[in-house]
This record gives sequence, structure tokens and C-alpha cells, in this order.
Amino acid sequence: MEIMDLGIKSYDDALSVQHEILQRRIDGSSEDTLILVEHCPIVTLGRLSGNACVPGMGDLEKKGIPVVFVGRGGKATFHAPGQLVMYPIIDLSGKKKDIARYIDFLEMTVARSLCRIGVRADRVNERRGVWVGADKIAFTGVAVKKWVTYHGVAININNDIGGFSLIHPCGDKDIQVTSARNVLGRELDMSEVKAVFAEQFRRDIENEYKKAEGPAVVA
Amino acid sequence: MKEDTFIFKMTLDMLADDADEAVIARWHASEMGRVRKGEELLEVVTDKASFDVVSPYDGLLVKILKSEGSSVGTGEVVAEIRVG
Repeated sequence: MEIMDLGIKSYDDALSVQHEILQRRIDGSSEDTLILVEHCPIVTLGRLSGNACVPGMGDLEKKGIPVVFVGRGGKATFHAPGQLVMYPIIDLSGKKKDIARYIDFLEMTVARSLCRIGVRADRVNERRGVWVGADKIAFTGVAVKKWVTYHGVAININNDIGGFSLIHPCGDKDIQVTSARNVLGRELDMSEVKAVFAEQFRRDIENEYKKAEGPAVVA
Repeated sequence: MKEDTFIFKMTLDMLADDADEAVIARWHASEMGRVRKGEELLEVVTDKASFDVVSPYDGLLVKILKSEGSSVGTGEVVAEIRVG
């Protein structure tokens, strides 16, 4: 699997890269790829979002923060530099074709990575995303085309989370949001953070799908 | 109908347990149009995912039972394809 770090990139530019790699993966001309990126400030709205997800539209306009509809599932989220966004372009066609299970996997590998950097995070049954106690720290929204995944998960690391107060994250006005910086009380080195998440992802996806597709164990 | 044809009732089994809120976003195919195996027929959106659904057979899309904007659950028939 290839790891591609785009650094800080606008949402549109990163989306173009995603689409290009997605198409190459569908054609079979590239391998599975994990894209890592930090976005310039932007609010993205998934396919089930409505305007009610953005009560602070006026404030966003004043701050010059764009609000755009995107082709993933899920509802509203906020991106800014210091937030790690992971876009796995993974071919599931030879694996278990189960989208819910893929999202479970995505949340689990993020929770494990957060634990490795000192943040006690976990999945919560019946609630999507990754949580630190009652606070949400990571946000999932995926898309699948011809059983190749794109879009993915955003994890608050060093970013200012004030922008979340201008939206209803994931369509829920009662969600409290946190970041690794808030939890740990210090700034983290993003290159070190990216290395941890990429290494954990590589290890977890091999284990997750090898385990499922391997021969049955006879007791 | 010829004896070697059958009606395939298409459901969205890949929704699994993630389909608290699944909506037909778009049909790429039309009623009474020919469809090919592997062709993208429709786009579905759930709470956390959007995905294309492809035709499992070559055939004729005889009926669309769930229009764009409709909610749909696992096991519900969204279309009928005459195969063969």
C-alpha cells in the first residue's frame, strides 16, 4: 500500500487527487493508497445534509470560510489545518463487501492510533465516529465506487475546533467536539502523528481483511 | 415470457447494519432500458456512506420501485430486472 502525504491542500485540490487515484485503482493501474492531508478551513456537507446543519452560515461567510456540498455520506463537518484527514483508496472487491464493516474498521484503526499518541479514544456502539468520553474527536464519511473506497475520516489533532460551533457536526446539534491538543494540553508534531496513523492503518488493514478472507479455522 | 428468463428482484444487501437512513440519491438507469452486468444502476446514500449499486445481470430494467429521494431498508426491493 502506498502512503501519500499531500501536506496542507485545499479541499478541491485534494479531491482532484482522490478522484485521479480512485479512477486508477478502479482501472487496476495503481495499488491501494492512503492519502494524508490537512485542509485549508472549509465546511463540507455530505449527501444527507441540509441547511439546518449550518446555523452559523453568516459567521462562516464573514470569516471567508467556504461551505460546499460533497459526494460522501454523512452530514456536516469542519476542516482546518492541524486536523489530520485520511482518505483510504482501497479496493474491497476481493474482500468482504460490507460497507458498515469497513467504517467499523476505519474507526477502530483511528482509535488505536489515538491511543498510541496518548489519547484514550474509542468507538461507541450505535454512534459513528471516534470518541474521547462524551466528546467526538474523529468524523467518518465514506464513498464507494465499484467497490473502491474514497473519502474517509477526519481527526482533530492540533486544529482550532471553534469552527465546529458554527455547524451541527454530523447533523447533531448536541455533539461536543474535542481535539488531541485539548486532551493532552500540548501541540503535537504532525509529521510524527501522520507516521503513527499511517503505520497503524497499514498494519490494521492487513490484519482485518487477511483474517476475514483466510481459510476457516477448524476447532 | 420465455422459459429461460426470470425476474430478479434487486435489494440493497450491502447496506448491512449501517442503514439507519438510506436514501436513493440517483438512478442512472431508466425503466424499460437494457442494463448490463456491472453497470452502475443507482447511487445510494446512508448516514455515513455513499455508494453506487451495479447490476448483477444483463437484462431489462422492467420496474423501478423506489424513486429518487425514497428511503429504503435492507431487504426492500428497489427494482425488478428481467434476466435473459
